[in-house]
Amino acid sequence: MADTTKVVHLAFEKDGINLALLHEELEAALGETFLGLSRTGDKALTVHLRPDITPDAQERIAPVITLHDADRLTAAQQAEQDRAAFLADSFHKPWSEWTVADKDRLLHALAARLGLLNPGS
Amino acid sequence: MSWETPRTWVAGELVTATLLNTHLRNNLNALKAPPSAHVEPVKATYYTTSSTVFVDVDGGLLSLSLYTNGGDVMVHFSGTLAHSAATGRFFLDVELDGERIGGDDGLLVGEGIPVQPMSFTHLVTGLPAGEHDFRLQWKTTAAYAGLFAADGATNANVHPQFWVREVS
Repeated sequence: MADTTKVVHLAFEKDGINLALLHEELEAALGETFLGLSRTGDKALTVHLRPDITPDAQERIAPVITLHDADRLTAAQQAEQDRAAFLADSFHKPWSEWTVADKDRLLHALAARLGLLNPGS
Repeated sequence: MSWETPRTWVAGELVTATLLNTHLRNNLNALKAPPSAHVEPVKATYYTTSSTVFVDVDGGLLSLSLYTNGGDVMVHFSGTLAHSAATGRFFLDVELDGERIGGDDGLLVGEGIPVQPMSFTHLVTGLPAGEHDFRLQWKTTAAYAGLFAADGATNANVHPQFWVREVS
């Protein structure tokens, strides 16, 4: 069990974030010392870190947050957006026009939506 | 008004106003208004976390201080949560004076994207008299979890509540 009393919490402010994307960006910059981030208000952002984080690593956090672009999507978010668009389009297509490949793709998209597939499969 | 151990009366004892006020009035007042604290946060945006270890949901608001008389304390939370990933899980716990009362993976777990009304009521026993700090905490397995916080969002403007009260 992780000892949360030993987690380092650093507070930042940032307008409009894509939390999943910023998580990936901070994870890439900090590695295993990064434990996650939380948003507790309109701008308030807390970064959770292992206590063995180095001063050099801490200095990498602010630039990552500053450069973060909330309009970009993670690969998973893009895939979900594509999947949602595909599903929305699919239900407007007459059943008589469906090919076997269309049906396979629909089943795959529905299974992914339900979390029955591993990411990227 | 704190609780006084009720006096054991003896035959022939003169009952004075001071004794009555101490052992009847004060204790009735204590029973009527036990140590209690609660919060219903109203935020500009909903709460989110991607933390894989338990952290405060909101160390400023969802953190309650209670001065108790040594009795049991009831801890309650109700709110609506969701996850950004179909298989993502979120966990809730309460940290009491620096130690989580649920331990392990906490008191509750939820999973998946659909919004989920969640609540727990947990009895804390064996707590010594004095000041105690209760903090709502959460963590997630992947991606991020969210807690609606009365932020005015259409069809999601619901109000979480967190409270603690000494009950014995």
